[in-house]
Amino acid sequence: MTAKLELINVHKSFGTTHVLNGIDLAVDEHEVVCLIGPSGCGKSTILRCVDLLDTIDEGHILLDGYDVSAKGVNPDEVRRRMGIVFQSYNLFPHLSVLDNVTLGPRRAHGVDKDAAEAHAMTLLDRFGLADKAEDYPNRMSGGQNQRAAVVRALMSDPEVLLLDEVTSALDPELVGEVLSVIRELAGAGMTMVLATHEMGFARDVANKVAFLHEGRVLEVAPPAELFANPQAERTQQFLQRVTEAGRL
Amino acid sequence: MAEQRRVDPDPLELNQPEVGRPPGIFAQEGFKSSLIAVVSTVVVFGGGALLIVNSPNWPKVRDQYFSGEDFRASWPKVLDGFWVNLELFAYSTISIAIVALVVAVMRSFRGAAFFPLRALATIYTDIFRGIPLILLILLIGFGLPALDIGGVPRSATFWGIVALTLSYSAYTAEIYRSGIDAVPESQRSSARALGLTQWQSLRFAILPQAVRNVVPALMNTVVSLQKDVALISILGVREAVREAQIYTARTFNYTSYVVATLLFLAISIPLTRVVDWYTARDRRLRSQAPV
Repeated sequence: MTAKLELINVHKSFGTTHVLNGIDLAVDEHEVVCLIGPSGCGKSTILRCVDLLDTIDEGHILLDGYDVSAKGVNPDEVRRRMGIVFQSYNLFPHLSVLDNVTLGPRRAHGVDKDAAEAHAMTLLDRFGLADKAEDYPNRMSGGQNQRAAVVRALMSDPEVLLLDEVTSALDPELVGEVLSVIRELAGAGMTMVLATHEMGFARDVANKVAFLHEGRVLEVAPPAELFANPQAERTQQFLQRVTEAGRL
Repeated sequence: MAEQRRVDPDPLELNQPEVGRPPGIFAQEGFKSSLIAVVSTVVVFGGGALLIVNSPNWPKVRDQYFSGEDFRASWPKVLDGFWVNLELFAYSTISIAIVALVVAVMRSFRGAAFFPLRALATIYTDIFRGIPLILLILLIGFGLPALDIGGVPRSATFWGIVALTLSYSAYTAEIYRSGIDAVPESQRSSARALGLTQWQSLRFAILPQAVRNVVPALMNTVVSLQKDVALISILGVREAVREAQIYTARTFNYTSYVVATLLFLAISIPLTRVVDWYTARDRRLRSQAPV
């Protein structure tokens, strides 16, 4: 069986900084993979590269076994099959929540207004935002913003959902509401790749956890295994620091 | 505690009358400062007026520039001309807004494939920002109609608007571009991530925010355009300044210029007030908005 998403020897540098040094990672359908590791290890860059927001220098990104990083692939087509949620929500401040979440389907997918809004209301309702449909992002809490951003990413019924430290910008008391949304999606079988600092959550929700160090995947294992019995020395050190900081 | 302290023969108590000034003194200070404002204004402007009125040639100049008779005589023609100014102003505002936006969007496209577009837009702004407006009006206003290209109007009014559009749109495109650059990069990423094309991202996500960023700057440009429209008079278009010149040439009296000046002020001062009001309101709304 081919993996839903596969990264093979992916390299990416910005100027002289090598951010990704040969990433190998496979994500099966309905699988939740958490990327953990210290800041600057390349977690966010992987997600941006998978969504083709950054072009990779070397290697391959396969979606359903098909090389989407190859020349001549229309990135818009690929992006429409994936959803991404950013750390700082990135909702459009000049649009209401409803217009934010229907913009993609209406303009990129050619869905008509009524159908897009009906779909949006179903999803907003599912994530407790039905009464916020007409509100503007700056009138809502960070948690509400981030949930709206998740809805926006789900509007195109993505095959893969990419989540880039979606709780890092939130006040501690708002983290829970966003994590429960992700947990619900995982339960519904959504294929997801998460970059996260929430170790407890990763242990809870992930099928696989990948530890990244200096642009390489140092270790991949089911969470029970990786957290209880890390193999690589770097992983051990990282997890020890996290534990000492009370985050695990 | 406070009650007791007041009973105590506290040395602080001696200072109390000075610390808590009665409101009357503040009112007096307010009166004093407005008095100073009035007096200094009267001195400065009154002094200036006295200086002018007492200058050796004042009676002559007064008749030359401020003659009531000539004011009445030149008013109808200059006013007729001023309507032409307003018409030119309206047409050029619209064409400048459109051309500038197109140029700014051309410059904002990313990727190697769009290099020719970007280069073209850059050359456009470099050239037309680099030529003095009056030269551009002379070159285009006299040069292009002389080519006698079929189907293209030969009127000086038309080519005047073209010249104004070329010059002003080069500036205005840069204003738009600064607004586009001020929109965070993450907004572009998230628009592209939704599957929107570059053009769709600009059109639906970036430009609405960019234009809002630069409305005050755009409005200032409009104020300045309103006056620069008068430069088209050098092509012989009979707008306010031209009409005033014609009157002057016939009568050797300059009151008609004062008439034209007053007409321009009648538009530009309210326009400037509106810009200030809008800018202040925009700043207030933005600072209020919670993050």
